[in-house]
Amino acid sequence: MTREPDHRRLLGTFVALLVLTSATWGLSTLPLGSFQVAVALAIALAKATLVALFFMHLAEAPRVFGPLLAVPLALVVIFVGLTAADVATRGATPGRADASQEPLRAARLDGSRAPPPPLRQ
Amino acid sequence: MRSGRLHAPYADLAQQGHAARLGMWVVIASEILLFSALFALYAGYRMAEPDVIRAGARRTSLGLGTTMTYILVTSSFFVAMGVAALRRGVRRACVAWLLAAAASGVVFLGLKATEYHEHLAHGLAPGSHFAAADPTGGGLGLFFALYYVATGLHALHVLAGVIVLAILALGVWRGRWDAAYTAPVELGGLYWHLVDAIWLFLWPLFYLLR
Repeated sequence: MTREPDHRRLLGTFVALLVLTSATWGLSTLPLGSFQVAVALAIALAKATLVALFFMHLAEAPRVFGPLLAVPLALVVIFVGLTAADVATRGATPGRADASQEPLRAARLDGSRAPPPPLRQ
Repeated sequence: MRSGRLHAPYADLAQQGHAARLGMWVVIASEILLFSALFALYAGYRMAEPDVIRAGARRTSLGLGTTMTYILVTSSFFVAMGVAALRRGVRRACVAWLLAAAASGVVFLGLKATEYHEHLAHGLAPGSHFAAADPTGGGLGLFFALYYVATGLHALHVLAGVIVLAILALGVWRGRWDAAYTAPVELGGLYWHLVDAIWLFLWPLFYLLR
């Protein structure tokens, strides 16, 4: 295998992807709380960007390819962001009459087969 | 140049390849939007029932999921090397890289099948069969319905990608595509990278964030 600039760039991208994958796994074991989701998704985004730029050659593609990817990505942010914001700012899950039961249900999520707790009146 | 490659209305192969790449990026854009519906659903579930989604993610196999991530990233590298080899005119190396990537895809599907089998052995089947194995009274079903749809749809894409890579390897081997016209192999490669990139998001959402 000859060591051409293209090869070096692909190999560098590959190594970076492996490092970032390991970093994602390592960070997931740390108690980051609510930052955990943000950190994991930020690294995933960084990896996908590397794949798009160098494996998919977007870095050397004509300018017209940029908006073609940027527009759907912006739409994804809108779809996912608005869905999350909508659900987060409602008091209860749609279809659930009584939001006060939520903590009771969540408390049984450890896998135990505890009897259902009494409903709050 | 082999005859029969150039189609109307293009003036030359370079122009035709450019148009083909542009078309492939439109396909990629629509695939991103297809999966974004599932990501939006995940975001909604995660906001509404964070503990249920965490409990569900704890039931998937972190070891298998992480292994599959490394495999897909590696196969993506193989495809990129294959395209680079074809551009340099080394067809034999290109065939080897493409077949290595396809084989990685088969291993990925094997691990995915193993994981599904484990879920089913634990009673984590989708639909009405689920409740019997669920100590949360139906909450885990929420996670697993989305999990099966998202990873199943992705696995179908991997299967299609493996077939595409095999066809491309055969075509390059027979000399149908070479350094003079790499576009078909590049398009197949773009598709495979997309499948890899989508998994890069599925992996943290369904395996890591537990």
